[in-house]
Amino acid sequence: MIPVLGLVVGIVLGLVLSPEVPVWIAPYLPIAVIAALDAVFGAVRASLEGIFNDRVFVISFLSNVVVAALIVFLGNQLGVGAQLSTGVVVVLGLRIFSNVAVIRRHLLGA
Amino acid sequence: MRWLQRGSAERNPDPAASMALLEEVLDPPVGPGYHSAARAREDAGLPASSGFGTALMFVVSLVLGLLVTVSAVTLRAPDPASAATRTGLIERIEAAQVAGDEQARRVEELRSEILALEQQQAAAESGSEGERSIAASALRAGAQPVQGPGVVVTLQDAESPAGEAPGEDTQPERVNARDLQLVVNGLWAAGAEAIAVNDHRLTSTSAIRFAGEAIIVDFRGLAPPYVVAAIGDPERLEGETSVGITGAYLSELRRQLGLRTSVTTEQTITLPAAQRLTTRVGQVPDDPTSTQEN
Repeated sequence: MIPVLGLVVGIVLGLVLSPEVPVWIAPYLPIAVIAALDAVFGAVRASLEGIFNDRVFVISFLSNVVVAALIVFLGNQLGVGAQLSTGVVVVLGLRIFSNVAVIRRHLLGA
Repeated sequence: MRWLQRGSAERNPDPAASMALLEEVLDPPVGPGYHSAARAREDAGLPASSGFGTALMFVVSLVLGLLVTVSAVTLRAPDPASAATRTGLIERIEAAQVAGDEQARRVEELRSEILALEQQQAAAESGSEGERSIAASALRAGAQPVQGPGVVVTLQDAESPAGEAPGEDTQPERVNARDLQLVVNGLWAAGAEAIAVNDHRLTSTSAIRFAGEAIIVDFRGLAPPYVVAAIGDPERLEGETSVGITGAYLSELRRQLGLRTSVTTEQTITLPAAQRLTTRVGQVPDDPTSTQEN
């Protein structure tokens, strides 16, 4: 219940405040969102397996976002930002899909 | 080569070990942190899962919602600058359209008002006499089409000289506004009652001007040939345009500059009504007799 409440409050805050995002941050947003989603699906899977831990989740969430942003930043500095972003998206996308597959097995048994 | 074989044999007892990376990608274990944290909690005598109802979870999910929402809002508009420009342009177009509609409605309103006032005036001046007076005024002012005998003077630019050397840029002589002004003034002087240039009726506020290379009558550009049609006493008009000053000027234009001019006398000429008859600044004076004093 608490996470759902926090999520709703966050969404409402984002919609109400709709903060001006500096232009230089914009390229990192999609990667950050995908990294966060990866952490979320990992957490869902862990909770289904009965070993969820909030500290681990927070650390994985933050480190995912920060590392993904760092990789994109590094790629931008080296002039291969698009390729590195694609790499990050592919790896995180694969992890999300396989985690979702495990979650599906837990929930539906299929 | 022996060291390579021995090394691989020692490190790779499982033939499928080279697939480890692919396996990990396709079926990743849940983050190792969860397992070790769960073990630590079990060792401490707590349940393996910490549950969701902690303040930390609230903060993290709030951040997650904020991140996703801000990203969606920010990235949905592909280019904020061009989007803003587009909206600005659309707003301006719509405003201009509204203003245009407004003006069109106002024109319609004023037209019907003018009509009503004219009819009212006519009724006030005891019926048919008033209507006659308005009709006569309209005829004199150029608000009515008019028909009668007169002359038609046609002026046209000179033809390009034949046998022009290639590359030689000789512009043929053109009719200019002064020629038209002289012809029109000559016709007025010879007693013309109504004159139209290329079907633009001249009124008391008309001007013939020269702008760039175009002749402008009443703010409308004309294209050659320039046809000046005048209604009046045909004999006097014909005399003026053949042997009078205007006639001399026309033959001079023909001879000196090669302009093509012609004068024909017609039994019936129909001239249209003038298109612009409004006065914006001038008003009828309060005391009509005072106009005599100055």
